[in-house]
Amino acid sequence: MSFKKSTQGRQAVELVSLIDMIFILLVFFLVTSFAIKMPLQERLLMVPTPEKKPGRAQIFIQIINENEIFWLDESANRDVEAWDRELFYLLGDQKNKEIIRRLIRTNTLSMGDFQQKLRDFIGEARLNRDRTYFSLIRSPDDIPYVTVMKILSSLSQADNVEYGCLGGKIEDLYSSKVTTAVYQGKTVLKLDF
Amino acid sequence: MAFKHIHEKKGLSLPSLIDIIFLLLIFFMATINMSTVISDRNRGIYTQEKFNLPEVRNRKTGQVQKFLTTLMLQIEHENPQDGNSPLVVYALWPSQGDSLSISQAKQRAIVEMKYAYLLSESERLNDPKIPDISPYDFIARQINQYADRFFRSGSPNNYIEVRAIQKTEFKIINHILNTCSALKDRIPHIYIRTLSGELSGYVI
Repeated sequence: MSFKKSTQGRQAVELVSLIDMIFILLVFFLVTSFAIKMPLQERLLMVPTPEKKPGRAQIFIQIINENEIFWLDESANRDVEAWDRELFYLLGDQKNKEIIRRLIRTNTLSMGDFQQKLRDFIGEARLNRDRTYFSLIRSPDDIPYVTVMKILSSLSQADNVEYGCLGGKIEDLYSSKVTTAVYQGKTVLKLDF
Repeated sequence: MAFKHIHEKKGLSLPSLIDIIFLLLIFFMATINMSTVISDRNRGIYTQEKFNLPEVRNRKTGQVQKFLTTLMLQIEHENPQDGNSPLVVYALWPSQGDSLSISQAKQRAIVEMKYAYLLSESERLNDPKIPDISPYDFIARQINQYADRFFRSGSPNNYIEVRAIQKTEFKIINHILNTCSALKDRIPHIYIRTLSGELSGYVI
């Protein structure tokens, strides 16, 4: 005796639904791939042209190379005053050179430390919105300009931070003159280079 | 003899209708996006995917115009597909009569010989095919000529643009800044083109 084969349990995927599904997936992938590309739009970053006169900066950033950056801020004032007293036995020019040497040694940062310092600075500027900060970036000629642009772009994230950039090497600082002066009741560093 | 009337329900089923509407909606979305990108590419505006600009994350940036509005110094490889070809600086002047896209202005700069190779003096002299123009002199001349024509007096609205590939050395940008600086307040700032990237820059 033969039995009929039961077809009731067989569950086939309907062709129309399958095509629908495949189309929807395809179109979703297309849309998302376009959506990912869209944020890459060209934008303009403003860079002021330098003025040929002495200026004041709360932060002085000297790019040494692509891995090291010299960062000078108000906290260096106390160190310079202390070294000035400590090195009383040296003559003017020798003392100046030694102070600069120490200044560069103690304030040269690795790229990781620099990024952290920059984050802290931007955070401080955002907290003190009533203050205006000015930072000066100095870069050697042979560094790709993208390094400077990254710093400028980070600084531009705080509305009260103004910035400027110019060319120059760390070696110029060795021959510069560092002095302390009192400006608006505060001790400030004067660097002539 | 009476026959039974078979009443067939004619109409769209709800799930199919939703399917169709969604498909139509998504197709329209996709085609609008594609047509915008393709038409912009044809006009030479949307070329940043090929142009290796620095990706920076910033808020205080301006929107780029679709057409050139001021002098643009564009620095790129002579053959954009070959990273070893020499770097060239093109002076892209906007058109007074009609609107020029970047690629159209570049074509015009090539025809009018408004470009210079960013090579050292010895490299330039050794290659007879390369015109003997110092890139620094060329940049200064172009900025001064443009300022003499359009920026006769100082204004905060005066600016020029720079569009340079990432590996461009800072000395070129510094030279542009110094040339503008020599004109005092006639060019108080320059704008450098970047790509807005969400994850780049140092501060997150």
